[in-house]
Amino acid sequence: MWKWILRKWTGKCELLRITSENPKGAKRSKAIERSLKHSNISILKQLSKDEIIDVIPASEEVMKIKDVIAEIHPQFAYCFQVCLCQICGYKRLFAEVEEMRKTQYSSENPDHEEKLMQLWGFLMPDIKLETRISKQWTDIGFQGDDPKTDFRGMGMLGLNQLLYISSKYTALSRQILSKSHHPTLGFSYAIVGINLTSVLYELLKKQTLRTHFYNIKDDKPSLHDFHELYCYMFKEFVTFWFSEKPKDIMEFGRVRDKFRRKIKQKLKEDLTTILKFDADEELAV
Amino acid sequence: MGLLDLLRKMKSGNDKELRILLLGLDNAGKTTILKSLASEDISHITPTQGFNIKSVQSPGFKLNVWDIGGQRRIRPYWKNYFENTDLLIYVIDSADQKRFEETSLELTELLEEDKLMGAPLLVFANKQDLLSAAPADEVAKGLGLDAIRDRKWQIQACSALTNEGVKEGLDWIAKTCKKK
Repeated sequence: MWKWILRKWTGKCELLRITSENPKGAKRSKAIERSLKHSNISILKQLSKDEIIDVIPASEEVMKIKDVIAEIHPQFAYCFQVCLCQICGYKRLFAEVEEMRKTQYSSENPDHEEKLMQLWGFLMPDIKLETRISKQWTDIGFQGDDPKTDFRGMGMLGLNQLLYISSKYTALSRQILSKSHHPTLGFSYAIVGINLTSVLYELLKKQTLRTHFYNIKDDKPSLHDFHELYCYMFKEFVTFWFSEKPKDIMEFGRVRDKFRRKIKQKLKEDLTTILKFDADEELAV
Repeated sequence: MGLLDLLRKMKSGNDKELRILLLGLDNAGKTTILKSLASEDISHITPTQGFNIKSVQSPGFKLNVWDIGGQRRIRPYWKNYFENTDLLIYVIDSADQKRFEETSLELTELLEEDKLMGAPLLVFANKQDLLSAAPADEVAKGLGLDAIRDRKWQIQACSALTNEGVKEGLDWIAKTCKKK
């Protein structure tokens, strides 16, 4: 009813009002997503669910259904396509991440083993790993002599993210590793890394990361963007951990939960938020 | 709050609170057991850095379960959690035969702790869903549980993954602590 009155009064359908009244980014795309989700028209509703959408024909169809005339509203088609791209891209990203998470680490898979060895190489360039099963793994923060059981619920996603930060931002990851050996404020590098993957994964799953991903670019978020966000989280967490001055490692759970709340708050309160990762900026601990 | 909720709250207010300590080596399945006791999703578990705590409601009892990380570097902190423990749950990965000796040693040390004196012991022989898992009686024998004279103990085969045996363990806790 309300929509109908607004439509008559402004002469614009809801989608058109959203695109013209909101700046591009999370504010607009989230509003479009909500509108599509609650639409009574099944084609529109479906657009809020699909992981893959051919956005140009989709926008043409929506314009036809909603009587949006391209000559009168020349901006609409492009704006709407960007929103669709982001909305379905986020869903696609989650599916990709979920598949990676469900892939269990397997010692029989040479690709998995290779990645694990690479991780060692990036973090410990000067020290040779004596044997595949070795207490040395605890030096980079795994729990015991074989890291494979530590990936657990995060599967290959956990390993891939540990490898991503150490291969792409090697200096930073070594710096964090060295901080992790702090006599009182130390932590297990790899285990904390896997726990941060879990924090990030939950935020993605609960759609909290839409704010960030809808703001960073006019395109669908990629796995690469997700991994970059992991690097941001790792760096921010380490800074946060030291600033909280925990008594010892047993406070990890409390500090992690507080950190998660802080990130969530950031993404909920201000819809213009971008969690910007700056690898060159000095680690402030 | 409805009347029913109120009644339930009053009733649960009378429940006995128990402090339960959940220990074992890393990768034994402590957190999975904790979550499965609390009927939570167990598919996203990560290694425990530090500890987790959950309150589990069971008939007549409110269980405050402390799940402490099992990796070697965290084990020295276990003793900080001993005080006022009503019951100890010790979790074994029944398929990890290579570490039976290590886990047995840790348990022996725990049972010698003054602060845990007399606390009933429930051993979960976990991961029975795996083909390579040793049966519970074999685990009990390996741990030398038969020699325990100074406390009540029980071994319970379980799979935290399939939730099999976990409830039986909970029942034993209720039975044992009622008598106390």
